[in-house]
Amino acid sequence: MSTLVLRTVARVVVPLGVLYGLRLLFVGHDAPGGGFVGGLVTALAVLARWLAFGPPPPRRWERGVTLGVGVAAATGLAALLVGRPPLTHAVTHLGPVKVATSLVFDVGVYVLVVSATLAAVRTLWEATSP
Amino acid sequence: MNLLLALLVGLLFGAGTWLLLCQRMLRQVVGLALLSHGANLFVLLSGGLGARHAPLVGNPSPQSDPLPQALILTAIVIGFGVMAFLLALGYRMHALEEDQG
Amino acid sequence: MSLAFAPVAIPLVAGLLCAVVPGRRLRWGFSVAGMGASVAASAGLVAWVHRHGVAVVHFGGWPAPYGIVFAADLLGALMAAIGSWVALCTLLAFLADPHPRLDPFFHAGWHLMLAGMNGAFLTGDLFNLYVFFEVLLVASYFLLTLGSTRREAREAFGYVAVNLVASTLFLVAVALLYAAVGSVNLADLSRRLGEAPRELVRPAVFLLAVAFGVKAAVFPLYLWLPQAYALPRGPVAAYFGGMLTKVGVYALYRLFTTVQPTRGPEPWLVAVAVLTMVFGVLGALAQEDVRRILSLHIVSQVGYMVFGLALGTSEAWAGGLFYVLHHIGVKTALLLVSAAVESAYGSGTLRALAGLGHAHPWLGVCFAVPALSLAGIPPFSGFWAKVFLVRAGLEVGEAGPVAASLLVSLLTLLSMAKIFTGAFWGTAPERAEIPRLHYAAAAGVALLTVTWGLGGSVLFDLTAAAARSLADPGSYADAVLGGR
Repeated sequence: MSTLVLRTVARVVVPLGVLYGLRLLFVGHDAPGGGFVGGLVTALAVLARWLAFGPPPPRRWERGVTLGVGVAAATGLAALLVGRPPLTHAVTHLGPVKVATSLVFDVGVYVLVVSATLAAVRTLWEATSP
Repeated sequence: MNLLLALLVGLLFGAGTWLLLCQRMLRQVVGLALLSHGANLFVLLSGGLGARHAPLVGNPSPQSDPLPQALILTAIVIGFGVMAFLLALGYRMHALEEDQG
Repeated sequence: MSLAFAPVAIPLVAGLLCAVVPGRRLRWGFSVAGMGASVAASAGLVAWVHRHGVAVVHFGGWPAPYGIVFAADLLGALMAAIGSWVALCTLLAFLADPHPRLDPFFHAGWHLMLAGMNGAFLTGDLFNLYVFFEVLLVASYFLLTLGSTRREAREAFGYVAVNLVASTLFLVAVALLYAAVGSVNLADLSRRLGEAPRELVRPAVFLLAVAFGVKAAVFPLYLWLPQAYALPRGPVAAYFGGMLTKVGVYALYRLFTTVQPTRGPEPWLVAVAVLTMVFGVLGALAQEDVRRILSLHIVSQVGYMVFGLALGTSEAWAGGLFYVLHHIGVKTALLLVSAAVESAYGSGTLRALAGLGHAHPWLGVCFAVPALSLAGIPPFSGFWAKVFLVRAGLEVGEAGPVAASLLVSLLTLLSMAKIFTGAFWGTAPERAEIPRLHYAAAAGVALLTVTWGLGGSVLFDLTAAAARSLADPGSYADAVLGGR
């Protein structure tokens, strides 16, 4: 699986993929993108690295899943504290940059998607390779 | 374009159903995937294709209907999860089969 | 009214905590406490809704029908309350019989399933109904395949495939309705479906009925059920048997009352109901395994619930809803008893179990009470459930189906007697220990049928109020759409 071509391509593609995933995460409020898509692209980039250089030792990726769900759920329920319906979000402008609290929610989704995908692949990888 | 996509939906549903009726499990999984893709495409069609002017809002540029896209994204996420589960389940069946000889 | 969201939020958060905290004891603590909180919240919701009418949450503050809403009417709140109570009792049955290698994510899965179920009962949006169905199903796939062998994995695959196809049809129906009406909000749909083009609405309603029919296991879509319920560990099967089909029944009620109201008996629905009753009970009579008999009885009983819906009057709906709530308690109790027996004796076939009644007289009582209730013997709740349905059926002149339903209940009694004589009478086997908590769990659910039998009017008043509000979809739509 790990050929010279794959390794060379992976060196270039992996950082770009991670960056593009992050970009999708941040533009997701107004433009196509968001936590889910960004997370998937990032996870794909990491997978390309694993294919080229072999996977890292197993980690407890499922902790990332609970962290992501926790962050998303906390931001969703936080609105209750100020007496608004759940999932209410606020938008402000920091200079020229538009910032929304829904970004925090999306970061939670991003972490969840990346770690869930990697956890699933890592588990199956372990199981399928002799 | 509408007709083309409608035919594509029909093709996906037909191929998915055919694969689902096969004996091999992997084919059935692929068949289920095709079925859910067909359904997603159908949802996209339900909002109408192309950009149109939104009513009431004074937005000068035409917009496409965002709701079907939101629905599809959700449906894709769910389909993604279920498909991963099915493949893992299939792998487990395979592994257990080898265990039992 | 954020309370309408609590029965979903609490299990979500509790499940999350259960996934994070280390140690079995701590997980159990969080799990049981979280379930208790869900029961309390949903019971509170029932009380609130009974007093003030539909409780609506507009997520993100967006007004309906543009935003996502939760709308808890009495039907949804009642279902959520019963579902949470049954989930708590079955969880206790797990605690009674702790599996040495229980998956660390079991609790998270259990809570996720409850969250999906309560979400399906409380959401006011057709697409979110789809989403919560999927949440519930994904959790159920996980619980179903816990520690499975190859044959079980194969059976589970069939269950997943059937449900996935049903969900696909559901999604297509949602798209059709969106194309026809331009909304997926239930209240908005109920207001505007009449003006929508019939050629889009009719196939959509048909597809929805098929998708919900698969989940509810009505004739001829029930064939997946006996296989699937024979698989999982006892308490999981008990919860599935009690609740899983009821989500489908609930969705059918929602579809044919709120979204596309029926007025008066609907011939094809009556036919489906009667066929479901008859085929279910005939299938049960042919089985020898306790759990399979009980699973096929679920099918037969679902027929009664759909019968109530099919009659299309407020009284019949009240009887049908009473039947739903009664059956959840009864069936879960029966399956919990059979789970206790199976885990103690390692077998669920009738022949292997002869003489249990001598060894465990109280277990016999815990089984006999819900079994008699299931067959419709007074003074238990099953008797009232059937009385209400029969009365409603005769009122609209459906004498034939009513007679069929009475015949089916006779056959149900026969089948229960078969279990009782086979498993509980006869010479005593070697006695195995059954944990006391298992009794408590089964009794906690069986208690429902006794209290509703003796004080049936309390529950019937509630279901009658729920049915009246179903018969008046306008008020539901006003509560959701008229900015509260």
